[in-house]
Amino acid sequence: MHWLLAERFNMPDLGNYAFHVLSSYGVTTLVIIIVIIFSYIKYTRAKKSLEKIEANLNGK
Amino acid sequence: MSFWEYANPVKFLKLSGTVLPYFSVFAALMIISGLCWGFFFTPDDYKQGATVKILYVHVPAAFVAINAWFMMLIASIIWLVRRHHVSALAAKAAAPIGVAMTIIGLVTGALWGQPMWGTWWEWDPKLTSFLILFLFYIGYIALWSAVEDPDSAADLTSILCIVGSVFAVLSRYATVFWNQGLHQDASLSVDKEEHVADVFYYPLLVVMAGFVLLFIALVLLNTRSEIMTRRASALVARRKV
Repeated sequence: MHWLLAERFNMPDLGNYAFHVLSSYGVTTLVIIIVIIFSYIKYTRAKKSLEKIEANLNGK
Repeated sequence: MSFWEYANPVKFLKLSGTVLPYFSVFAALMIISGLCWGFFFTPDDYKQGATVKILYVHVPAAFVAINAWFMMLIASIIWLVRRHHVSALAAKAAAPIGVAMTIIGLVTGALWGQPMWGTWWEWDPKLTSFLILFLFYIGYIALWSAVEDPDSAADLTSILCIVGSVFAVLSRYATVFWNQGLHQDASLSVDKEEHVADVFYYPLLVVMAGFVLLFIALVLLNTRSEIMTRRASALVARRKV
């Protein structure tokens, strides 16, 4: 398997299009990472807030 | 067991908590492997040269951006007809992901269009309807924030979603309806003759599957956040009473 992959591996020569191709991948990665981080932060905040309120109610 | 049982927030939280890690791991694996396959193991296109590699990020992002709106449309109709809160919250949860995918689609489209068409932007039917879809996403999120009563917000945003679905359809089929503009026809089709060459098609399918799984995982995560926030607000309100 590895020899087949090695044979087909092709380090792309992006030439004049390097900026366009690499920027596309960069923007995509950045936006996806931002969305994941924001969603995760929102989730942990909501979870902590709910747990705190439920703990207060149960403590009463 | 009925599908509608998962409209119960407690059952939804339990099921989504179980499946979320699997969706996340498979999404990451498929996106990374598909992008590596497309970037390092496929040749340049005879016409477009190395810019064809933008296909692997542009098409999946645009696909998810358009279909996220259709998912929101179905969830909104379920809310309007059956008044299940989880469906309204799922629609709300999908909107930020749709915005992100639309931004990726617009930016990568411009980066692809500049070397191929000689322009970053053109008021072509497909591009214009996609831009309007982006504005609808922004309007949808703004409307949720602007209306204080959650049920009224869900009603109003559902109606906005139904109206905006016109532009989701146009974004997908503009080239078929008008047969004009710079944008090419769809890269994927059920008819094998119409889609891109196999050497680009298979890695593209892997990345698309990864983007769809990522979308599902993020919608589940955001819906969980919305349910928890809603429950926290309800508990605080009950305590005040």
